[in-house]
Amino acid sequence: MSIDEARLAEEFQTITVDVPVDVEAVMTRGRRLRRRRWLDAAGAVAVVVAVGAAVVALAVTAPGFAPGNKSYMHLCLEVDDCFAAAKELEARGLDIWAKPKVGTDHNVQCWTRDPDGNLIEIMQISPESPQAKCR
Amino acid sequence: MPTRDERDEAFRAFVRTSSASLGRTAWFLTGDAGIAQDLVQEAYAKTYASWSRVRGEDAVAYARRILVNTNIDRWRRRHGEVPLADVDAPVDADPESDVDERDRMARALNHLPRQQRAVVVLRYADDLSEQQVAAALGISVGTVKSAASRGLAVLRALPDWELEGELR
Repeated sequence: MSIDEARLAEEFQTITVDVPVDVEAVMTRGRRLRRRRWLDAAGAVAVVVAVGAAVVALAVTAPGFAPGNKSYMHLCLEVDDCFAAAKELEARGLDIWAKPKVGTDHNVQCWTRDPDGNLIEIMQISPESPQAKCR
Repeated sequence: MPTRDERDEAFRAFVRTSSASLGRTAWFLTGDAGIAQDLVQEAYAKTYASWSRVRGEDAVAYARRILVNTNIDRWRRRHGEVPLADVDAPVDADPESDVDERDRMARALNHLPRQQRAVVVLRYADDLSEQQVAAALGISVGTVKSAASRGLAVLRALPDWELEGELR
């Protein structure tokens, strides 16, 4: 640092500022931001986080929403380990009709159905996936 | 995987240890206590929203980058895209002991265009290395160097800017 730079740095050090932070308000707003990102990422259809400390968030389809991509029209549950989840679900008698594999979005996914035959996807989010980048 | 409570506790601890430093950054970037407070809250909220990704990274550096970018967004909303020096921005009127010193610094910093101001604040108020400043602002080390020296030259030329002593 030059003399000027060192003096400026010293000058800054003599000044105290106090900017209070309300951490609980921060976290409330942060959760809202996170939810909004999820909804944006999913085109506002149905969104999820699950298993373990399970949280399932479902959103109503936005008015006039017509997905160009029908593959978004299903419920997807996120798990930490898709292979382990599939194994456990099979052990409990569910039919995992599409076994876990890595998809083009880098996530590991497998498929089962609910008792009515509706598709349910179980997905392990990869850090390289577009979904992870939306978090 | 840590539980949500553990993650929240880690985040609270992170805020406790980093808020003095980020508060300084925000204050010197804006020169206004109220705006600085909003800026810090928003930067922390965005950091919390991405907390699962931030783990393992340098969380303070991450939050500071968010803070600087959030401030730039605020700037753009207020001024359009043209970077003008914010000469008449309000200064903090908090009646603290060194308020004169703070006001003088805020007035001086208001003469800097926003990138120079960000570089000067991060480099000298926050004591970051040139590399850290470059990473926080998403610019090259060369740009940090030139912005720092131009910013310093602007400050030095101000009539109400007197560095202690005469060696100028």
